[in-house]
Amino acid sequence: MNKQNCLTLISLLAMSSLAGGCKYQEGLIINTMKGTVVVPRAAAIKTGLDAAGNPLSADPNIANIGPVYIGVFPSVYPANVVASFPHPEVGPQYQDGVEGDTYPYGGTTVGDIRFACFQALACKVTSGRFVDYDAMAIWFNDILGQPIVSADNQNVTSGELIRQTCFDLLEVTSDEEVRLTAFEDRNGDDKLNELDLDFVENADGDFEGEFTLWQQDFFWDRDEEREKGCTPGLDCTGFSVWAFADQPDSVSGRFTACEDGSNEGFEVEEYNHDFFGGRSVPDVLNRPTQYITEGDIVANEYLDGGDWVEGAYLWKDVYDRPTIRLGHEVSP
Amino acid sequence: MFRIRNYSLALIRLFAAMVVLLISVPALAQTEGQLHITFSEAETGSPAYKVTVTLTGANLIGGAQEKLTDVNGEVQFNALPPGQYELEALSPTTAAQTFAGISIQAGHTNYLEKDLQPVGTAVEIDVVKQRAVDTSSTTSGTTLSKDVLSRIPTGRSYQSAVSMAAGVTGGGGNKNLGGGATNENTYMLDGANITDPVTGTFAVNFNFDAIEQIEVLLGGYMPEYGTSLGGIINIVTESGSNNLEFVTSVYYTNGDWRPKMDARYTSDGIELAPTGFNSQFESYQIASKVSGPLIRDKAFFIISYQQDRSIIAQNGIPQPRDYEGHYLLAKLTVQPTAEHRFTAMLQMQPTNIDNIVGDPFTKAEAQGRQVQGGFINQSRWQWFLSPDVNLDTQFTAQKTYIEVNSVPCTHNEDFSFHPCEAGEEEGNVDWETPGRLGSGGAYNSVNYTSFYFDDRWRYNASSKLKLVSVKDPLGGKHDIKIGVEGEQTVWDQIQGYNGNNLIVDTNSVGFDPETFTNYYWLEISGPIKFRTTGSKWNAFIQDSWKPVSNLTINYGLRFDNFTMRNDLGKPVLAGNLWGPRLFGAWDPWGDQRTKIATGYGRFNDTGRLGTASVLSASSFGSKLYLGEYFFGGDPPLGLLNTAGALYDFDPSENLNVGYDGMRAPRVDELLLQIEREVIDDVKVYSHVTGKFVRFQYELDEQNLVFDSDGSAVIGSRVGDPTTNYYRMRTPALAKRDYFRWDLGFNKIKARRWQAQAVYSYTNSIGSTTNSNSGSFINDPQSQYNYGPLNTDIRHVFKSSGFWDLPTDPWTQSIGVAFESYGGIPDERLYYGENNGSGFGSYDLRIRPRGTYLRYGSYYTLGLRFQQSIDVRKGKFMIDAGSTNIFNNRAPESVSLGFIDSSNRFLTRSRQNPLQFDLGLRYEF
Repeated sequence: MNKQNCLTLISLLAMSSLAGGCKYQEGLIINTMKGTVVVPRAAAIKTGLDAAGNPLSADPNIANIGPVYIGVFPSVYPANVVASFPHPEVGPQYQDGVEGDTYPYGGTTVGDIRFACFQALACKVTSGRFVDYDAMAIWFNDILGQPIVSADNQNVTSGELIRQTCFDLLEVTSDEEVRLTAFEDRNGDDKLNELDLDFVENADGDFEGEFTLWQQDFFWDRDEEREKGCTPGLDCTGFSVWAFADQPDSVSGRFTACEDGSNEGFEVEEYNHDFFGGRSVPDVLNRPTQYITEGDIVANEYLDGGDWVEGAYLWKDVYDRPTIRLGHEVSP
Repeated sequence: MFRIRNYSLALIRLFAAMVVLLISVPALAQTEGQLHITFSEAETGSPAYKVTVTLTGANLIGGAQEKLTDVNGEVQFNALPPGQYELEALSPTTAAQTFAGISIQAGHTNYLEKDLQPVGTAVEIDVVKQRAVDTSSTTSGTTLSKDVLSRIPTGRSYQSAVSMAAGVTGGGGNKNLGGGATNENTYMLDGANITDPVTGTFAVNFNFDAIEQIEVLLGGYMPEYGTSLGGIINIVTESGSNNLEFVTSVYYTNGDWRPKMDARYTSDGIELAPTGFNSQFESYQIASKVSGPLIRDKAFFIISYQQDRSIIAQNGIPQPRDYEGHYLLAKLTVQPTAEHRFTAMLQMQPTNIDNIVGDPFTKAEAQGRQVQGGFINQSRWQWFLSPDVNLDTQFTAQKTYIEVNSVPCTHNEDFSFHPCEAGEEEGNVDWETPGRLGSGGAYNSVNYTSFYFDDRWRYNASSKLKLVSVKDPLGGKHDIKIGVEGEQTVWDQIQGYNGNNLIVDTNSVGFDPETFTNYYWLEISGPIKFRTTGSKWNAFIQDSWKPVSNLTINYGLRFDNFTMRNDLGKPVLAGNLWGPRLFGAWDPWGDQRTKIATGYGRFNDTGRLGTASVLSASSFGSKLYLGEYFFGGDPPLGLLNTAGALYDFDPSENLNVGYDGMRAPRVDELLLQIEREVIDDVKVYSHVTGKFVRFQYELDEQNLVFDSDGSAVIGSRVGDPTTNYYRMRTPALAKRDYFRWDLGFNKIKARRWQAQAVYSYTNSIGSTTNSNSGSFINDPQSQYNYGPLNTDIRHVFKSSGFWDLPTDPWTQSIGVAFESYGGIPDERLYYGENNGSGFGSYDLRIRPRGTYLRYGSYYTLGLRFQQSIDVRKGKFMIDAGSTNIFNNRAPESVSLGFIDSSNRFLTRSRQNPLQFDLGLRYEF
C-alpha cells in the first residue's frame, strides 16, 4: 500500500468512525412527552355554606382542584368494569384483601402535595393552586372555615406569616424555593398572577393544565409491530393515558392519597411540637381504587380533532400532545 | 549468497518482530526523547553531507553514539534517556565543532539546525540554546522537569506538582485534567498504565526524588498514549547514569506554626470555627536515593526509598489521622550491546493509615485502620534492529491492596488509639463485636463497623515497533510507530460487618447524651466475596510526518477492544472503539520561533472495574429491626429483645441491570495553538481547546414513578414502590462540553532563571460529572441536569518560577508559585418528600446544576528557598518553603443540602492552612 492509499484508508476510517458516532441510536424510545389535562369548571367550584353560613361563591377557584395524578398504563377499562369509574387494567390479585396492581409504565402530576409549613395544613395544600400566601390564608380561614392554627394555638391569618414560617423551616429566602405559590412568569406577561398557576381557565370555562412525562420509556404493541409493520413511537399502539384529581375531602379538606404518619414528608422538630408534613402515598398509581373517593374526578374522554371522545387516549406518536378531560365525578 | 543471507536475516528479524507483537500486548507512553540535527556548511549554505556526529551524555546508556549525516545534512538519534547531552561534528570539509548543553526530554524531539564552519576556522564550544517553541509538537499539556520539581514550592508529590499545569483544577490527589472527572485520568509510569483499575484514580504514591519528569497531557496526544476522557499523567523515572549519585533528605512540614486567631470571617460571611489551638497538622518525609553505573556505559541502577508520615487532626476530632507510607523503588537498566537494552523495575508502597474516620463523634475504639499498598513490576526490552528501527516490548504486573478494619487495640495509654480491654491481647482486632454508629450527635462506639479486603491486579504487556526517518517519495520523512497491547485486570474484594450486625444509636434530643438510645439495627448477611475482571487489547498506528521542514502532521488511529465481567463472569460492558487523531503543526517562517497547530482527535473510555461492579449480581442482604427509640420502655428494650420488631427485609441480590445498547464513552477534541518566541527564551502563546464528552455511563431508574417535580414517588412500574431498579445506560444526554482558552508566556531556563504564567478562561457545561453520578435516576430532575460543572472555573491564573542566584559556589535558589482560581459553581439541593432515596432528603434540584452560586475566588502563594553548601565530595542543601503564605483558608467544599439561619452554606472543608516545611539534603 503506498502512502496515499494509506492516508485515504485512515481518512475513511476516521470519517466512518465520526459518522458512526453521529448516527448512533441507543435503541430505546425515551422521550419527554407532554399533554394537557382539562378539569371541568364545576370541579373548581365549591358548593355549600361558608364559615358565616352564607352560600359559597359560585366563582370557580382552582384551589378546589387537588393534585392530578396522571399515569400511562397497558389499558384502561371504562366505568363499572373494575370500579365505578374508568380505571386502569389491574394485574392479578396475589393476596386476600389486597387488590391487584396496575403496573403503570410511568406517570406524573399536575401540582403535587406540598407541605405549607403548619401542621394544620399537612396533606391539604397542592402546589400551583394559590397566587400568594394571602390567598392561601383566605382560602382556609375564610372560605373553607378551617382556620390555620400555629404551634402555640394562634390563628394564622397573615399570608406573610405563612411565608416567613416556610422560609424559616425550609431555610430558604424566596417563593421560588418554596414553590407553593405562583413563583414564575409562565405566560410571559411580566406579572405573577393566577395565569401563572397550574390550571388556567380556557375558552369553554373549564380549566386546563399541562403535564410532562419526563424521559418516558415508550412501550408499544409488539404484536402489531410484527404483524403490521408499524413504527414504534410513530404509529404503533402505545400505552393508554389515565388520570384523576384527588379532590379535597369536603369536611376535613385533606387529600385521600396523602399520608403524614411517621417518617412521611417534611419532619418538623420544634421543642414539643414534632410532626411530619405529609407526602403522596407511593402507590397511588398502582392501586388507585384505594385512594379515589367520592368527589374525586377521573379522566373519561380525550380530544380528537376538536371532538371529545369517550375512553382513554392511546398514545402512538411520542410527539403527540393529547388533551384528556377529567369528566367523571366519582359518586358514592 | 550474500543477498540471500541478508534476506534471511531480514525475514528472521521480521518474524521475530511479529512474534513479539503477537504474544505480547502494549501501553507505551514515551519515556525517552529524540534529537534531530540539520547541519549546513556555513560558507555555502548547502547541507553538510557525511559529517560524523558523535553524541555523548552521562545518562546515555550504551555509550557514545556515532552517525553520519545524510545528503540533506540531517541525522537523528533515538531512544535517548532524558538528560543533558554533548555532540561533536567532524568532517573533512568543516572544522571540528562541539555542541554542548543539549537537553532531551521524554516524549519530545529536539530539532536543531546548526552551521559548520570551514576547515581552519577557530571555533568555540557552542552551548546550544533551547528553543522556547516546540514547532513539531501538537500535544496540549505541560512537562515538569526535574529542575522545576526540585525548585518550585508545590509539595513533594507528583499528585500535588501537577496542579502547576494549565487546565488542571481540583484539590486532593486526584485532579480534574482538561475538564475530565477525577476518575477519568490515566496515570502512567515509564510508559505503562498504572491507573487504579477499579476506580480510575491514582493507585500509587511514588518516590519524589526518583522522578525525572512528569508529563501532564490534556489533549492532542498520539494513540500510543492510550485512552482517557480527562488527561494523562506520565511519570518518567530516573534510570541512573555514569555518575554515581547519592541524595538523602529529611523534610518536616508543620501547619501549626501559622498565626493563631480565635475566629476568622471569610468573604462569604461565615464565621469559621477557631483555627484550632489543639488541632495538629504535621508531616515529615525521609528520602534517600542512590544511582549510578554498575558497569560504565552498560548497566545503570537507581535505588530509592521514601517514608512519608503525616499526623493530621481536624478540629474537634480527638484521634489524629496517622498516615505512614514507605515507598521503595529499584530499577536496573542494562545495555550489553548496541542492539539490546533491558530494564527491570520494582516499586512498592506499603502504607498504614490509622484513625480513618474524620468525625468528631467517634470514640477511639470505633476508629478504623486502612492498610494499603502494592507493587509494580516492570520489565522492558528494547531491540534496536537498526539505527532507525527499534522494537520496544514491555510487561507490567501491578497489585494494589486495601484492607480496612478496626484499629488494633493497645494497652499503651499514651496513645489515643483503640484501648484494649483488660486481658485482651495487644494488637487484637475484634471481628465479632458489632460497631455502633451514632446519629444526632451520639458517638460512634464499641467497635469499627465493618471490614474490607481488596486486591486489584493489572497485568499489561505491550510491544511497539518504531521506524524513524522513513523517507517519503513525495518529500520529507516519517516517524512511524505501530503497537499492540493486552491487559487483564482483576478485582477481588471481601466485605463484611463485624458480628454481621450494624447498630445505629441516636440522641432523641440532638446532642443531648442523656437521651442516648438505640435507633435501629441491621442484621446483615455474612461476608460477601466478589471477583470482577476485565480484559482489553488494543492496537495503534501513528505517524509523525514532516513533508517539509516547517510542517509536521501527526496522525494515527487506535483500536481498543474491552470486555468487563461481573462477579458471575458475565460480560457486562464491552466495546470495539476507534480513536482517530489528526493534528498538524506549522512553522510559517521556518525559524523555529513560531507555531500554529490545530487538529482533531477522538479519545475513548474503555471502562473501569468499578463501573462493571455496579452490575454484579451479589450484594448484602439485611433485616432492619427498630430499636428502643421507636418503642421506649423502661428498662429500654435491648438488642435481643427487639427481635420481634422486624421492620424491613432486603434480599441479598443486586437488582441493577445493564442495557444491551450501551456504547463506550468518548471525547472528541479540537484544538488550536499559536505560539511565538517573542524574545530569546520567551514565548507567548494562545491555546484553545474544545472537548466534547458523550455517552457517559449512567444509571437510570426503571421502577419508580415520580410526581411533577420529582419530589415524591407516586407509583412503581414493578409493584414495589420502595426499591430502585437501576439500569446502566450510555444516553446521549449524559454529556459534557468543555472549552478552555489559555493565554500565557513561558521563559525557558536560561541565565539561571525560568518562569511561566498562564491565564485560563474555562467554560465547562454538562449533565454529568463522571460515571454513575446519579444524574438520571429521577426522571423529572433530568430537566435540571445540564449546567455548569465543577470544572467550570471561569478564571484561573497560574504562575511559577525560580532563580538560581549568582552566588557561586554557595548556590542559592528562590522558587515561587502562585495560583488563583475563580469561583467554582455549585448548586443547592432542596427537600423532597420521598424522592426514591429514602424517607425524604435534601437532594432535589429546582434549577439547573451549578447555577445557584459561585464560590469566591481563592488563591495560594508559595515560596521556596534553597541554600547549597559545597562540602567534601558533594553538597549540603538547606531547603525551606512555605505554602499558602497568606493563610487564605477559602472554602473548597460545602454541605450542599443545608444552609444556616443566615442563609449561608455550611462550609465543609477549606484550603489547608499556612504550612512551613524545612528540608535538609545531602548530594554527591
